[in-house]
Amino acid sequence: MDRNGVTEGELEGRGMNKCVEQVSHLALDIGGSLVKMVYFCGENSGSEHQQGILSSKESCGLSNGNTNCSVLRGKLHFRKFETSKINECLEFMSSKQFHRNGEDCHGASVSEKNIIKATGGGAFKFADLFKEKLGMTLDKVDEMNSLVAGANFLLKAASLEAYTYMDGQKEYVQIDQNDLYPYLLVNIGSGVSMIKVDGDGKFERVSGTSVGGGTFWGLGKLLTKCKSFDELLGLSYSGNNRVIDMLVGDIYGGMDYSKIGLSSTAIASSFGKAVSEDKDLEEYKPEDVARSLLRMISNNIGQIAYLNALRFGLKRIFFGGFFIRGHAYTMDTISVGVNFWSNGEAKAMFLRHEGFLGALGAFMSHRKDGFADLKAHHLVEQVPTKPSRNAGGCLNNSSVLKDVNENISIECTMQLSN
Amino acid sequence: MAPIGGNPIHRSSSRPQLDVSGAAIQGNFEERDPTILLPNQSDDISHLALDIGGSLIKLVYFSRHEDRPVNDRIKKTIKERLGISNGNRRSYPVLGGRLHFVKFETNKINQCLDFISSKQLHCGGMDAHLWHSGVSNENAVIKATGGGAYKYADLFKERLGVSIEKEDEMNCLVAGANFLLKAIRHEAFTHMEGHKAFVQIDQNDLFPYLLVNVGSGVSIIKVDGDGKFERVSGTNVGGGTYWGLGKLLTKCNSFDELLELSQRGDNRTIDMLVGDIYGGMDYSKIGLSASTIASSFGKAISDNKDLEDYRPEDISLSLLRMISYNIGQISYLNALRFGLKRIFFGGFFIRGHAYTMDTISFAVQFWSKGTSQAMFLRHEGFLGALGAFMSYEKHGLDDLMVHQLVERFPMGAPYIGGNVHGPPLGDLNEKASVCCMKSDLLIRNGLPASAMFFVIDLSSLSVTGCLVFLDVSLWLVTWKTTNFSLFRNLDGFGSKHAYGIFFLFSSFSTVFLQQYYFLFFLEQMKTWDLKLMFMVYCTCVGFGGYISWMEKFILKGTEITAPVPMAPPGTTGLGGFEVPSSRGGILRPDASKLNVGVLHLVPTLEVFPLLADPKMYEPNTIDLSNPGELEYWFTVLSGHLPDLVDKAVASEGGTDDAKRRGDAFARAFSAHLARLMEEPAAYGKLGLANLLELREECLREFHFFDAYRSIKQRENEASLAVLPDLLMEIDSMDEETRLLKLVEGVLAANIFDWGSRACVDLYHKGTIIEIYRMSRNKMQRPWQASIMKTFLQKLLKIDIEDIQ
Repeated sequence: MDRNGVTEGELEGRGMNKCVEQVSHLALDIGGSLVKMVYFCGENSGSEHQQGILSSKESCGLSNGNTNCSVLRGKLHFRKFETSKINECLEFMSSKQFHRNGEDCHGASVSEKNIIKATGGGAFKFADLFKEKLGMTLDKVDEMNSLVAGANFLLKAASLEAYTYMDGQKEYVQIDQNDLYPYLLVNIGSGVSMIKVDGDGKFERVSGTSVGGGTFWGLGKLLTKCKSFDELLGLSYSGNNRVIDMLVGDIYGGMDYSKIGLSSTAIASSFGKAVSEDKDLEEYKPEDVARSLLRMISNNIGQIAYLNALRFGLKRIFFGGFFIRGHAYTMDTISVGVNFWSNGEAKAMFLRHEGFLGALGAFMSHRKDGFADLKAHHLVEQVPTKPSRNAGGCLNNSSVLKDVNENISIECTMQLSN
Repeated sequence: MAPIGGNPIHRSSSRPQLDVSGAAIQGNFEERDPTILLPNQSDDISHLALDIGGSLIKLVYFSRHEDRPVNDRIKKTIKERLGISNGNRRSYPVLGGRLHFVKFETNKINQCLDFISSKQLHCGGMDAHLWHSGVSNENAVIKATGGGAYKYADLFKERLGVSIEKEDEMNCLVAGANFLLKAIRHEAFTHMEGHKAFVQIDQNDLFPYLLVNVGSGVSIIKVDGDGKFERVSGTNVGGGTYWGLGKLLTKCNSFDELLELSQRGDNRTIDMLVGDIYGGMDYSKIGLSASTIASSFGKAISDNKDLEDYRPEDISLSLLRMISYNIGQISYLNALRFGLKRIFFGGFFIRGHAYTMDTISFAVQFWSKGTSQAMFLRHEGFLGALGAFMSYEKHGLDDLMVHQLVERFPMGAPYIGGNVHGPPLGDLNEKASVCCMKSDLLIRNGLPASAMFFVIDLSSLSVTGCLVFLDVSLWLVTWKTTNFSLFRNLDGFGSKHAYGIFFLFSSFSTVFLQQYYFLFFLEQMKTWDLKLMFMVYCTCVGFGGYISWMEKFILKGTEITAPVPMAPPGTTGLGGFEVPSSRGGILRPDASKLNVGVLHLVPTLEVFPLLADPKMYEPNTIDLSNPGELEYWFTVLSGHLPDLVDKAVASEGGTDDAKRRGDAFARAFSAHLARLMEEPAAYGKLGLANLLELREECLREFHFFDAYRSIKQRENEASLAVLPDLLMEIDSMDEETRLLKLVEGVLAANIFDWGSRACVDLYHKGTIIEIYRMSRNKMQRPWQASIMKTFLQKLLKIDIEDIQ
């Protein structure tokens, strides 16, 4: 009742003030490297919308006195911050005044409203900080649960969410909701979790690896002195891994080892060429180092993911997590890895909101004490989404590679219940 | 008539195949066991096979029979002693031989070529020219595998005039692994939490298994049988990645150095652990403890540190864990895929390094929830080379029985008795490579090293030796390591010891000259306040001359080329080492923990045909992996050593030369013992009988062919003098008493077996006759277990029946 009231009240109030956005629900995924945020902005865009709420209210109200629903139309927004700069996140929240909206609502107790759904290890680590700085309590949601809930939501609710990426070709895949399960969800954050998903809330973490995004960034930072993940990714674009990787051809004097299906350009040993060459780190181009590193890690993840998919007979592998961030070469390498080891039988698929699975999942957990369902209508790409990667050859500019998915908000309706 | 002779040779399928063409019976055809002459049989035929990988060259070669002794006199006397020329025996050569294992770095391929050339392996062994003088080198073929077999084919042709015959890499790996697992007892072992356990694989239950070869890259092969296999997977994150990335990150110059660094590392400073993310808590729901690595190198993200701010040790360890763990995981997933229980890991990445093995084992154990086990092979690095070796058609090694291969660990292998060209100290075998870090550590850990010399071979710019002065004793330790990387490690104690004086020997210096300078140093040492200095000498490969291992040893006087620098001798007496106290506690570079010996092929050792289950028969009843047993026998053998040395020296006439060799033997054997005390698994699974054989081998290595020779001679004379009396005495007995006395006699004689302490005491007290008498008294009934009655009845009854 109160939540219902709050939102309506806020919507109306905002409507009168002609305010565009009203942040209502917010969830965080505080990982080892990044803080991911999902928040819902209700919209007050005219009578049509109000009617929507009303009609929904009618249809939803039913006879049950306990269930009091309304439908909100609005957008889900996605944001990320570096974990090491968590203050930026706190400031953002503060500026959006999200943390206070509970107090504004009529009749809602402070204790109930000052709770944020949060997942990821940082939900434990930074709990005190949120309490102290914002007076918010972090309600910890299980990480795996969140990942799976987020992925399930996206795969079911958002059309054009999943896509394959091979040889630079992006191809959206329409997933039949009824034929979604089981699938393998590979979440590549700092580390990698591999989860077999059998249904809503039905899943098992079957594997994982410590060689993930954190390894790429961490090792990359040490090797190239890059200051950010994006910069490192940018470097890898123009790199050539053959400079430093030992290829099959290097061992076989330029020939393929055809008997076992290894071409001369296959990597026999990542960084293997550094062994025989008498060169220091400084003598290698950071671009080449970044490229080798990226290939090594992507390929490895692709392989372990495929082996796990094989083990459980799963045809579909979805890759998510912030390591990928829509980076073409990363996706290419993972896809090639999966394709190679499965002889083309398994396909790597990617999610547009890959980095926000956990945060979305945490958001979904509002369901228990907030809304009944969240329906996505379509994706709205707010900002020019395809930054031209060739522009001026300015590949080191991290802004060029800024995540695409952060700019895609999802227009959706939220069915609220009490 | 001639072909008849071939049959006895072919009778046993387990015997190496011989070229029997031209076989002829020598001498009188009426003899029961006529001597057979095989003119096309050289007793030194050598086979050589190579595995030329991206980082290392592995070489396996086989020498038939004994390596040619230094001079014919010795060879002749051995034959006399062993009774080989005895007319009652077959006089065709003993068809035994040895398999030697050597490795070189690929970027120093010239060392490998020099080695082959010096041993004339490419010509089919030392003596080959005697038999094949008509065959020119151009027809010579060496089997080789690995990528380098393609890359360096021309170089081999040019330098050695031999053609490289390329063998498929996977074929070789599998053939090598199959051979080792079938032919060598206790080749495989598990390694969990620092504990090794040798495993005897039932030959009949060997297949299928998963073979993971971790070289520069990793190949994962499913093996279903001999020659039946499939490369099912692999990964590009392998040994080359560890070394390559490690080199870039730590500036280490060698793989071993990098490994050694990891020993002292703490990966928590750089890996992001589950606890780091969860604020010190476990993520127990999915079974991840706080110390689990969530993200390798993940901590480097948030720390505002540069590469230089991290300790190279930590980086090395983090890298090692990442790669080992990854290999273990991918291997397990592949084993699971094909339902394989056994996973064998081999390849040069592992090289007996405890932490690597532990990490891989842990990964397999973790992901399989204990249903799968990682196993390792003692000859892990030589799988490909062995396989290439197996591909020769004529060696016939493939159907060897388990008992026919005996592994020995000579100090100077594979150079025993042979002439070696090249740098006098640079040619010691790979086992020596382990010592550098030991001595390094020894000193770093504060052991009292009075001085240390480093011997640097300028021709290859590698450190080839190290002389450590510990109080009054001098140790010569040799090894091979690339460049001068080791010196960096010395910085840690450099402040305590001044060093830095370089002496340059002229390139034409002889060994004697070096010896002179060496003494000169010793003199100077007394006056200079130098605790540590480097001795640099140049050796000219061309003029280095022929120096046999033995000569070198003798010239070096009291120095000894031991594979392990010991803790300082606990006593000044021979062999009186105290048990090294450093076990545990100090992190050691255990890259050295497993020795690969020389495999002796002894085709004459047939399994006892009457055994109910020959495979399960283990004559070695005392297992030295039991710490109590090992310590006991260590004490016994150490205590016995001075006496043995006396006997050995006496057996060679007590000359100065013999004394020096005796001293050397004592030190060498003590080194073996001390090494065993430190790492009981150093020589694989070891029983007491193996240890005693090791002692015998060690004696032989220092050219003591029978330590008890003079005593035996004396005793034989004494015995022969009393024999008629004894026989008369026995003849005068009734049949039953006679049998009993004979049995007692046999038992009494056996008391000498393996030289127990009590027996040695007896021995000191009198002549053999007295001992025999005393022993007989001890042998009198009642015995603890006896079937004498049954025995007598059976024997006498048969006797009676025969008469009837």
